[in-house]
Amino acid sequence: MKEDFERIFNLYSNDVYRLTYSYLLNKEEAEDIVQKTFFKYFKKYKKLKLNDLEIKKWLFRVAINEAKDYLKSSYISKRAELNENISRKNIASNDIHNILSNMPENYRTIIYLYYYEGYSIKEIAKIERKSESAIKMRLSRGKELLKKEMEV
Amino acid sequence: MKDIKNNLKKDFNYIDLSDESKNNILNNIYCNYNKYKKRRNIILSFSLVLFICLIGFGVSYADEIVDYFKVKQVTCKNGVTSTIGQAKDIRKVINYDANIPELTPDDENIVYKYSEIEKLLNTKLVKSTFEPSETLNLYNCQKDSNKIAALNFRVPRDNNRRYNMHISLITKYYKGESTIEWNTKNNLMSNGFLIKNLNTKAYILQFRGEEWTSSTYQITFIYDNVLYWVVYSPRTIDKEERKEQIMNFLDSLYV
Repeated sequence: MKEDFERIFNLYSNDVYRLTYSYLLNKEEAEDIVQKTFFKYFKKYKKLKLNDLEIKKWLFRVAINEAKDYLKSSYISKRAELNENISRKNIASNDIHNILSNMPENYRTIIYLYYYEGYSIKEIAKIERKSESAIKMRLSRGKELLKKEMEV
Repeated sequence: MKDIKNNLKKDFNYIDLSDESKNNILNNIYCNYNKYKKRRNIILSFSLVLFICLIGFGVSYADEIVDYFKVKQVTCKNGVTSTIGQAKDIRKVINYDANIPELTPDDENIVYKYSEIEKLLNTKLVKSTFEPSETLNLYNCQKDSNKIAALNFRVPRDNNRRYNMHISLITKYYKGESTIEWNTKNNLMSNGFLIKNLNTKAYILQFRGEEWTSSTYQITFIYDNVLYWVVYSPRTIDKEERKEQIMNFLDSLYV
């Protein structure tokens, strides 16, 4: 049974990591969220009767919630200023980091899910648990910001 | 826009978990899961023990309710049934040094407000929301070496009130007969009626052979080691109304 879990981990850990990184913009924090997300999955995977693609969406939903909770915690809000300088040293690619860091947090995951994962607005609305119109609005604003950033 | 998409994809591809990070995360997950399992087992064991304790307490408490009174003897002579009921030895824990004078039934009653006597004795007494009374008359107080041994109260007599309630308690200082008995020449009604608010059983004695034909009913119950004895007169000849009134009265009792 552990093999099933490890197969899913190897299949989707990078995707979950990219999603959480796009939200948190910090390598270590994104790794923590990946661990938390897959720990939740490990506790439940025997009961979850989902196919691989549904599991991926489930993981994304859990990861987004975990990342939001993480940002809400008092510990992270206290050290936010300090982290501003450190986080830039942890990035894998300066370009993508700079583009994302000029965007509001709740636009970043939508941009990632839409452009990188290729999800439809309907699917993103389900993952984010938001209305389709809200996702559409964020996506179009995100696109504008993205255009500006890429043209610079 | 296609360029943007391609550039983004290319950039995101750089963001990757190293093999070392993946191994660390997997190891941490397995390690945390073992801790989680151990913690869960401990919590489950504690919950099970607590559940068993609660069930045990519930069963013994339920036994207590049933065993307060026992029908000791039923005899039938010339078509008339005699019933003797007996309660087990019950002693009430109160403030034995409460400032209450010794009193015999021949002395003048002392009137107390419910709140006043409850504070003095450090215990709650049963009241009724039906034709309520603010006060209680103390008509008997026995002491032993200045410690309260027995107390008897009654709800003041009032012609408009349909019931007459007596409250009786004995403490560990009481040296007389400790059992409480009733004796009726006629019927003891079935197995008792549950007083929902108090979670105790009331026994209703009636003074005629057939149920709900009597004009007065004696309701007896024990709550928190205090004996309550009520004579209720429904003032109606309709059997159903009599029954309904008495059931409503039982529902009106509270502490």
